[in-house]
Amino acid sequence: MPRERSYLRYQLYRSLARKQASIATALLQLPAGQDLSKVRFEPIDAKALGAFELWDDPHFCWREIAEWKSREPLSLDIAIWFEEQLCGLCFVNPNKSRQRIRIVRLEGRSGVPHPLKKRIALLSMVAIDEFAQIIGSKCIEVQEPIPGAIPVYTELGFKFDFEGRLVLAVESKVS
Amino acid sequence: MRKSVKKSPTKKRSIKTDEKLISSELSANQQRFLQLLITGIEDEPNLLAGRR
Repeated sequence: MPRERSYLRYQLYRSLARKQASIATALLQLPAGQDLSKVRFEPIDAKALGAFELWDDPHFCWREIAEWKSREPLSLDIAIWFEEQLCGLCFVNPNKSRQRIRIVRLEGRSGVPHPLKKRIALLSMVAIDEFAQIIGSKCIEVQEPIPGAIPVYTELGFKFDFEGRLVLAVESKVS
Repeated sequence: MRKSVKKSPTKKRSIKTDEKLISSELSANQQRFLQLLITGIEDEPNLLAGRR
């Protein structure tokens, strides 16, 4: 009899990826006056959605994510906080084989300046890459990159493949 | 006579051990991301991915 497929372990994987991203970020030595130890990677929960309501003129309605999360049990949702300020939101989803993880949505806080400006893509990638390694993905793809953001992805190491997809190979850890 | 308290045979991992584990196990991508985090990426738009 085939083993019943359980997605419970994905809750653990999500939590682990966020936690590892928090620790790796907190350990980073920054110039005086800058402190990433106050960065938190959390799920997009009611608190995050409440803080999202304070954003001026956001592009996406992130309230939809609650439904997406229940529909896509393998997905990873990330709310990036600096202390009590919500600075970024991200939703990624692996394909069925888990070989490829797609960044479906990624947005930083619009309107007022925030302490993680210039770092939202980077912080998201730390957590996404961690998650990709945990679930055994081979590649991270930006599903629909915003044209103005392509230089950011290029700096992160993404390249267009022969099918025109913006991708980054997942590498294994080195000691 | 006082009861002797036995320590659990399973050693609990401390946060410091976790940190050591993570700092010594980063992929090349993660090392690059963390290096870039020091300065950030200039001209990062707020909207980075998603259907317009």
